[in-house]
Parts: sequence; structure tokens; C-alpha cells
Amino acid sequence: MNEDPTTGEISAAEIGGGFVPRSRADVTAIVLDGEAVVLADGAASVHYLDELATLVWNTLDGAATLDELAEDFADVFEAELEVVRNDLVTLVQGIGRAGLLQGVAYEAPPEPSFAWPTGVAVGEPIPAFKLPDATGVDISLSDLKDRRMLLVNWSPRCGFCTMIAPLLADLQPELHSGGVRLVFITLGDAEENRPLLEEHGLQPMVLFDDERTALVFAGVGTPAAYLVDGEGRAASELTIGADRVPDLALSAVGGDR
Amino acid sequence: MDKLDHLGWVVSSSFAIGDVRFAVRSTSHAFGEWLSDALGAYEVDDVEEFLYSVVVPDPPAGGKTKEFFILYKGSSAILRTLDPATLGRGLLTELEGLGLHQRDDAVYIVASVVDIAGAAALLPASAVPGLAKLGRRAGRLGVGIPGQLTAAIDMHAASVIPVGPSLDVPGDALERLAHALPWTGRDGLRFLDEPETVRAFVVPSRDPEASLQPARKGYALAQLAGRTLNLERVGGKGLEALGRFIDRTPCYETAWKDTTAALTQLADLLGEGP
Repeated sequence: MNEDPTTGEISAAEIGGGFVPRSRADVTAIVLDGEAVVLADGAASVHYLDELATLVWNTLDGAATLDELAEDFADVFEAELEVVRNDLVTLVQGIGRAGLLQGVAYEAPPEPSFAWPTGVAVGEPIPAFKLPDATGVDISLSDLKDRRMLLVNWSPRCGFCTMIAPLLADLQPELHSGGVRLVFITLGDAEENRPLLEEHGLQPMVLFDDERTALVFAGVGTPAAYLVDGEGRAASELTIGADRVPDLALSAVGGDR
Repeated sequence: MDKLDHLGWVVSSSFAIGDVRFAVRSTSHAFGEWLSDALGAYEVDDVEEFLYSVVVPDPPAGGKTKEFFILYKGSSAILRTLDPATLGRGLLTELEGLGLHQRDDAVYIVASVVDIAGAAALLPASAVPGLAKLGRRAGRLGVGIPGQLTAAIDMHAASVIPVGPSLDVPGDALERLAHALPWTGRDGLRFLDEPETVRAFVVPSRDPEASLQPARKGYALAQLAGRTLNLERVGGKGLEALGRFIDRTPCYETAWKDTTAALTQLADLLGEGP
């Protein structure tokens, strides 16, 4: 096995049937109802072992090789030795990667990747949708291709939507005269949406998507918006947030803040 | 301030608590003045990231309001209240949370104690916004909405205790806020002030369709440990305290698919007594 010359540890990938596993002395394991929750000293998160993994964990005392342990488990569970051996090696490799075994190097899990939704690029078609309006009639993207549109991801339960409602209402005349249709894709039903719209005199076309099935704003919070050209293509980047959506509306009518 | 102004924000202040630097903005000058006064020990030069936003309703003619004070964290409304003192307490409690990962005097968890049918249950903080949306139905179900999203487990007694204050804030800060924003309504938001014996710990289920059912203790412990803010600081002793808490607390899991149904089941369960 290839030990790191500095630490004397091996990589978990090198664990095989001849490896003699021993749990680290500075690991705390709490077993409740036959399931273990394990914490390595200095770690910020725990590892949860189900009943079978906990059985294995309890055998990692440095007294037997994985091949010997596999034979014991195969006997007890009357299972095929090779299957048990492979499962055991895979499980112990995982325990080793978590930094819970003596002589095995900890491997940090890959960083979760996160990025703000970017939406479609300017000039690209936005994802098609077909959603009911207040009268129950299904409206599709192709029905709205006669002119430009400010398409807003909306929710009557969103405080930031509430805050920008008067700003969008102020811009309605300019949007209308500029040939820009204001369309909300919203949560809730007509009854839930009506008070906020009426309070500010907002009169967008409202399309209801309480189940969030429309891909155009999939994974995007509220408020968010696209300016869409008369052919259903994005004329702006996906614009997210109460600070930015009103500015997009203003830019749609040729203004600037 | 242009961006502040056109969305109704009129004041902002920047603070540093522990290693977290953040800004708070508000629609109220009076609230902004109170905030600078209450958290003067932590005020710093301009920070661009608005971590918190506070919406203060306009004062009504009659001295009472039915509009909510709203505390946002990012774009999520984490507190809605009719009472400015509750707003202030909620914000200060939230700010206490910013330094909890550096403390080792208790195990700090992102969870809330919720009154259900006269008994206390510990729920993950992720369930609380769903409770808050119940409005008056919460009262009919016998559910008291919590005002805070953090709690602590005592390292020795392994019981639920309040988060001990550590911020340097004037003792009369909340009274001053009540003077600064004198229009008040009443709501029943609950803050944890004393150690609490909880009769149930409810965790999210792995089954997205699951209704309320007993949870395995190992799974419940893993869920609680996963909601710990300072595990790195409290280490194995902290995990042992969580283990003792879980061992003696009835644990349940639910998918929270239907909040009302889950709470009704929980109320029935807790109403039956120990």
C-alpha cells in the first residue's frame, strides 16, 4: 500500500480485503435503536450509519481483515461471500474517506456547487408554457408573441413583490404605450392575487401556476422577470430581485433610474 | 441610498458581530435610530450586503395597526408581528444566532420550541414558516407560533434551554423600541425564556408522502446533529448531550406535506398526555 510519507496514511481507495480496519480513538459514536451517529474529533458534521453499517462499525477493532470479516458476515446472513466482500470493502472505504479509521486519510467531500439561476441567454427562446388565466382559459407563450412582454415571476405571498407592486403600477401606462404587455406568472388563485393587484391598480395578464410547472422560472424565486421580444425570445437576462425587476421594467420603456 | 429609496427603504446601518459583517435596512427612520442605539457597540462602516430588511408599517391614526412589522432575512420573511417589541426581540435573537457557531457553552440548534395542544414540541426551524402561514388556524389547532428559530441543548442536563444572551445591548432596548414605535398590536409569538421539557421532537421524513409516525432514534439524532451550529466546538461531548436528549424524548417524523394534518396528528398525540 502507498502510505503518505508525511502522515503515514493510505488513501481509502487502497482499502481491500487484506486491510485490517480500526476506528479512530478520537471518534464519538452514539448508538440508538441499533443505528450509529458518528462524529470525528474536530469535525463539523456527523455520519449516520444504518443498522447494517452499525454492525460493521462495531467490528472495526483492528482484530480482523476485511476478508475475515466478510466470511463471518456471509455465514451469519447466509449471503454470497463475494457480494458481501465487495459491499464490505465499499462501505469501509466510505468510512475511511470520512476520516473515521486509523491510518486512512480523510477526503473532503466535493464542495456542493451552487450558482444563481442564469436563465436563457439574450436572444434565445424562453421555455414555452401553457397556463390558465383568471377565466380558466389556457394561454400559451405562442399566444403572446404579437408584441413585447415583461414576464414577471410573482407571488401574492412575497413581501418583495408587495413592495414593487406600486413601482410596476406606476410604469403601466408607459409599458402599455410602449407596446409592452405585462404578464405575471403567479402562485395562488385569483382570489388570493386580487387584493394586492387591486390595491395598486395593477392590471397585468395573470397566469396561474401554483404547482410551479412552468420551466421558464424553474428554481427561481420571486420577484424575477424577463423582457421577452415579439417572437418569444429573451430580450433581457433573467432579472431577479426587488431591486432589479423595477429597473428592468423601466428599461423596457426606455427609462433609466 | 437611491436603491433604498425607490423600494421604500429610508435608512440602513452596518454591523459586525463575530466574524459576520452585514447591513440592515428599514422603511422607518425611527427604527433605524433605535437600531443604531441598541447595537451601537457593533456598528461599523458601510457594508454592502443587506442581510436583514425591516418593514415598519405607517402609524395609523387610531394608534393601533393591523399591518405587520416584517423582518426579512435575505428575501425570506422570517418574522411577521403586530408588536414592535416582538420585532425587536426577534431581530436581536436572530443576531445572537450569528455568533452561536463560536460558542461552546451549550449545543446550539436550528430548531424551535412550539406549543401544541398545551405541550411543547421541538420542531426543525424549516417547519416554522409553514406554521406562520396558518394564521388563525394555528390558534384553532392549539399551536403557538415561535418567534425564534434557534434553541440550545444543555451540555450536562441534555435538556432544551434558551439561547443565553451574549450581545452587548442596553437592558431597556425593547422598551425604547416600544416608545419609538408606539403603535402596537398583540400577537402570541413565543420566545423561549426558560428551560423546557419537550414532549416530542419531530424531524423531516425521508419519505415525501409520510404522515406523522414514530422515528428511529438514530435517524432523529442524525437529524438533530445536522441542525447543530457549533458541533465543531462542542465535539463528542456535545454529540453525547444530543444523544441523551434524543434517548429520552419521543421522536416522530413527517413529510410536512400537509401542515394542518401533521399538526392535528401531533396535537392529538400530545393531548393524550405523557
